[in-house]
Amino acid sequence: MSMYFMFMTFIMLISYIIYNLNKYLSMNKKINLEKKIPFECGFNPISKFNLPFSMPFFLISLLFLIFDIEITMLIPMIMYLKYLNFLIMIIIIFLFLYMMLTTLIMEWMLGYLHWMF
Amino acid sequence: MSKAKGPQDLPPKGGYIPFQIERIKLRSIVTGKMGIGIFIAVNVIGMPLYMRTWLRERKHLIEARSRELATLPILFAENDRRTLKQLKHVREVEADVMKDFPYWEVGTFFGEPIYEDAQADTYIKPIFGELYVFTDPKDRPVLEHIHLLP
Amino acid sequence: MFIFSYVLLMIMVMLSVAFLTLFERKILSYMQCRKGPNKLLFKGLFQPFSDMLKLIFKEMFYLSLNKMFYLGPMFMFYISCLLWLVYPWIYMNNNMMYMMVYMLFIMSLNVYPILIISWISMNNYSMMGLMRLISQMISFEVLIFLIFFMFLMIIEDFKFIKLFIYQMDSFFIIMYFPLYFMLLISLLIDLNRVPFDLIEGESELVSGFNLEYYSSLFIYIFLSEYMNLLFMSMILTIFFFGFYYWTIMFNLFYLMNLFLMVMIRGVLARIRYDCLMYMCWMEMLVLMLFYLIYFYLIKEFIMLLNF
Repeated sequence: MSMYFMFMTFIMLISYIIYNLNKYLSMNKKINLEKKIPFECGFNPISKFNLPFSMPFFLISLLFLIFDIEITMLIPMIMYLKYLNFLIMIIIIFLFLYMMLTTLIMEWMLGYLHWMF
Repeated sequence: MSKAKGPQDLPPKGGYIPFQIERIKLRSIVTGKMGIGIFIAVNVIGMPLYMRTWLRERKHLIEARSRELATLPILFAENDRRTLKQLKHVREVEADVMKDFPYWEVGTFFGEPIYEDAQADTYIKPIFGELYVFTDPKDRPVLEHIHLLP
Repeated sequence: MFIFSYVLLMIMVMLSVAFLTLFERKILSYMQCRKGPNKLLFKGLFQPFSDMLKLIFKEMFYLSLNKMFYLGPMFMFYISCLLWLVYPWIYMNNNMMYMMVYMLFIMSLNVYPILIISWISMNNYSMMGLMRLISQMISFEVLIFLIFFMFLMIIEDFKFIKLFIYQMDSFFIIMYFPLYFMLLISLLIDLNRVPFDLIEGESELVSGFNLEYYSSLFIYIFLSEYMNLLFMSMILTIFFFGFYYWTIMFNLFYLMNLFLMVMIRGVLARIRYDCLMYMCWMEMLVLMLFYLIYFYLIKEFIMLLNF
């Protein structure tokens, strides 16, 4: 276990070295305010900094949530394949895969996967 | 705007030559049907190979389980022997501690049996407190897990 | 004592990343009928080091005083380094029992640092890159997990060593070649490489999410991206051609997979975003689910034959 801590400190050491090398070897330039504010096509921004809320991206996140829970429950199935008999397993695994498939096809038919703007 | 002088840019006599509108398909080396055929052929050949390795691994798995089951009797026996030793030791210490206490008989609660309905020679599995009642309370967290240490 | 192996692995991986940049530039340039960098030292071998030095000597300033500004890229680098702990050593089986789960977990964590990076640079371009990134990476995570789940069903265990045992008779690429193509595509998407590099699309969003990042912080981002690329090639090699890492055939097929992943960059154009989403949810996920059902039926068949 301490080996992993040593590994972590080694990585942090490398990042520290890179960061400090840059800090002490970088060029000194004048501090210009123009560098710190956001730009838009090279000029000062006209539009405000908030994008409108896009529905399709949100729907995809919801879809991912559903599937993520299903695949989280699929992970222990591997151990069950070794120890349980296949009559039970065929029911369980087919139930999961059937649920995923039906969810997907239902979403497709109801139009949630259509990329609208 | 003055009129342009010189010859006008008109289409050639007889119209333009008809040009190709239809799609030119790519030259395919592996067609779709060939892909399905490869899939079927490969599965038919690959399945026995997979089966061989799978059966070998199943045998290893069964042997590992049998190994564990075979070593269980001796482990249980050693555990029981150790518990009996500890119970004997506890009884001796109790006899030593309570020798001047009036009306106390060793192994009973002032002459009455501890378990009311149990027969005289039933073996009741001892709990942690029973085994380690005469130890230092500071040692007890260690004694709880001492059977797991090598 | 074993820490020495991991330290050496990390140093070698970072050297490989440095030369991978040169590799990529030369290959892309030969695909465009020109020679790549070949002036420094001996036929351009010193180029990656001069690139690194250039990046270190560039100016460094803070866009915002938030600590997340420099911790974001460091976190990205850290996650890519953690992923390399899964390297299949044979002699040091430290907690080798659940390596697949660990690998999937770390691959899922790749979303967060890029989220932090895009959010901190208060720029509309980065925000657009962020929105695209989230949808892209989480959609294909489901797909990658299902492909790995297929492998877990084949192997029946979470260890990596079983991969080598099951491939003694034949390679997996022969029997499961559709999975090879699907995994190749999904890994390319997970790495945000062309043709799926929509989040750093150069002609649309000016350099996407790493817009306001210069010098050392950019070094972290690009190191982590290339380290992930190396790791994914290794995953492809181990899963489909199960050679041990000390054989020469492993080297050959590893370089072949790396070559393939780099060459795709020079051939294909960038995909449109809704085509990408259709490809994930409508085409590949359905295919994958049917393939899983089919393979499970094969397993049942095998079991019934040998009852």
